[in-house]
Amino acid sequence: MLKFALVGNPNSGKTTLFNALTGSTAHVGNWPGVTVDKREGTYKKGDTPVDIVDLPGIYSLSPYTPEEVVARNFILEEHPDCVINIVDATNLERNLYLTTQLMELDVPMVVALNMTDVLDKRGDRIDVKTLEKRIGFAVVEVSALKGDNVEKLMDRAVEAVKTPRKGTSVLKESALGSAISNAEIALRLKEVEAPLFHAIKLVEKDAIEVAAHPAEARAAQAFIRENLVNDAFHGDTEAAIADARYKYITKHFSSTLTRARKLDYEELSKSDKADKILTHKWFGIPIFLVIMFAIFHMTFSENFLYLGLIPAFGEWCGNISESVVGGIFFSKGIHSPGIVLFNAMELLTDQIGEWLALGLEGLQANKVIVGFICDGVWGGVASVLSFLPQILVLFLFFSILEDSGYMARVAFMLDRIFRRFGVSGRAFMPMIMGFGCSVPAMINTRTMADEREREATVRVIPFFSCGAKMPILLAVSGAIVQAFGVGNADVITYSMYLLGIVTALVSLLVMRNTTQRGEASPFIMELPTYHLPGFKNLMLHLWDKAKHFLQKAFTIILISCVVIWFLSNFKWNWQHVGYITVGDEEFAHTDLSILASLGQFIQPLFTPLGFGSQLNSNGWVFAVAALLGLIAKEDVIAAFGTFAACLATSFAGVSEDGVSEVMIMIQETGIGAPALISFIAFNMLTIPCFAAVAAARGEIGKGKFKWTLLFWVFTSYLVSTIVYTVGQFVWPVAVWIVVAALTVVGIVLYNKYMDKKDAEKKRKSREEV
Amino acid sequence: MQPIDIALIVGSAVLVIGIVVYLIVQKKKGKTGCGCGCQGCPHAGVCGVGKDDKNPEEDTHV
Repeated sequence: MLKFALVGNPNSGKTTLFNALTGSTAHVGNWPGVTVDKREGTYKKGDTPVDIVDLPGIYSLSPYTPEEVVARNFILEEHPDCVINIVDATNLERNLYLTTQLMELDVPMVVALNMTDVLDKRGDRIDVKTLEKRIGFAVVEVSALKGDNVEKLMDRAVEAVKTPRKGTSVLKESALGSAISNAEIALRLKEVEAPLFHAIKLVEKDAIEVAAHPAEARAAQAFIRENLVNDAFHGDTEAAIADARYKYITKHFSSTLTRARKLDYEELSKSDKADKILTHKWFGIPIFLVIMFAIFHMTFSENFLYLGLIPAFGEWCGNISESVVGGIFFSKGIHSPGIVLFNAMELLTDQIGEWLALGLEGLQANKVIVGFICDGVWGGVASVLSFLPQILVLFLFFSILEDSGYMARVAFMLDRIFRRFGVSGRAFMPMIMGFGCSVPAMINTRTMADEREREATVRVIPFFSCGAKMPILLAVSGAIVQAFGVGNADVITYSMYLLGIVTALVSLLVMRNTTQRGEASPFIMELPTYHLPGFKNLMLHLWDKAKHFLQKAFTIILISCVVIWFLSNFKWNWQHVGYITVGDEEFAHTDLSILASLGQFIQPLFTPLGFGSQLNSNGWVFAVAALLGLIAKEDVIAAFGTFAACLATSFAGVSEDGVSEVMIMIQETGIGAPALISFIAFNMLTIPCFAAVAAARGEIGKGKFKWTLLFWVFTSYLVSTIVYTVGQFVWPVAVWIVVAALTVVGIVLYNKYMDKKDAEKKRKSREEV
Repeated sequence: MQPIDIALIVGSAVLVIGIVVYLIVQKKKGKTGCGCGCQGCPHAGVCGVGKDDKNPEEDTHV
């Protein structure tokens, strides 16, 4: 099978083209550095299937960044049959800089001129025929986003494979042309593959090439020293070659671009104008916080735009909410879109549960089996499923922010703040990915150059609450509002997200001043222009999220529910716990179950956090749920769903929506609001799910991993204890302030000691030299 | 025990075993190790390839 590689600058649309060619749904983001490793798919629309490899975005083939190493090694070592070079037509000159390097390789090439539709809108035009003639291989105008011309591009690529190609260079006429030719001849004699490419890299003093061909490197440098007169770059051949490339591009290629009107460098583009406000030095961060709150309000608020605060309107909403349909849209005010969808889903899951129970009772099935199917399996799965619409609404908004290019600006704005905590704005991108799932977020840290900064970032990624933790946040915060009348669900959820971010920043500060000492690495990122997010791309994001959520609900969560039901309905002697009768209803005697005895054993551990021994006899459910969250975070609410059916001595016919089930837990355990907030905090900050733990182990390495586990347990325990003690008793705030002050003093003293030690080490090594 | 109970127990057992087998097969195929949405992610190809595998020199710094 033919193998084609997609190569181009960051954010030039490679992954979008990859998706268009292979029908994949790979993550596409409007920020540079989305792809950090190669990914493969198959193009099946042509006569023969073609293996397509999407490589990370690069600016050159010099091995300075992990992305450049991946792309360079693939092209040189895995010999693709053709390289498809994606060129962003709106940034022609800069993109062609990479093209001039790719054309030095002995591999067939095709240029995909992407984003020409944007160019058309500006009224600019590229003379493709002339460009093709000057570059020396096919140039095809495409729109990866719309899928325009991608078949033509593949046809031209397949055609190009038929003719073997030798590398060509735009540097032959430059001052270093003779040095390059000499090095090329020497490498050709050594039978090195792609001698022209390697010769140019030798002249550039590329570290890998110099190590591979030391004799030729010395000869090349000697030739340059003897023959290069008027060297404006003072022996920096890499800079001289870059300059020669740009000069050639400007003279021969850029002239193919005709602008509708003369470029005025003083004139601001629409993106620049938007940036003047959105990335403003003082208003940028507050605007970001307001945007985030608006998103949470649209997703989680039962009082949309706070219209219910108008007394007459609130009363009117209350009256309408009495009916089934009215209850979906109204309660104390108008529901936000997220709540409307949540209520509709709840109605559906409740109805399915009712039909299931009626059906099984009609068949006169054993009540233990009916309990297993309706309460154990369906109750648990449905309590998680009901949150799917809200998760999708939240991710729709996040995807819009990411696709529009705004998130890249936030990374740029946060760089200033993050530096104070010892990391660069580059760390923000994996953190943002962490809101979706910690696993890809941890792997994305590979683009960070500083190892200690990277490890610190991996450790705090789970503090950025992922989609799996959302059911815990929503169910518990919803129940707090209903049971205690404290605040609004959207405000509690938003505050918990902020708590995660603040914990991450404080942890980074502590780590970067103690175990992971070091300065934040430099952060340079090309800001993409703002654009309207593509509908198809947004839907692909959502479909991907929904598919995996459903897949997880009906596999891992369902299996967990079965296990939880068994452990909470059977005793150690494998006999059923039996039933107790309250009024007309019968409930399983869960207190006698295996899970209850295990839960009661570990319960005291959680006393400082508020959900330990201070709760009544059923309080073990919180300890057990917190531990089950280590398998998958959704298991916490699924477990409540299963427990609710056993414990609900006063809630007959309870709704399977997570919130009602937490309400039962509150009723049956006597837990208070501060302990519930502490419960959310513990689940958000503690050891993440199995998959994220495995990813962290892979990224950090075995030696340091045990410390990472300890760090997660310690941080979650400490923060939850602070939340509970301060929320419950208020006065411990003074104790925590003293603890914080002592910690700061300790860190300062430790830093002084380490600085002294480092200075001593440096002095000794100088003396030795 | 009624025939319907036996049928429900067998059905439930088949469902649970089926899911477990499905998860094992998926994992062996390398399709997903986490089930949390990384199949479409840009790093799926490197999932599970740890730093240890690439760099045997292990740093035990905390």
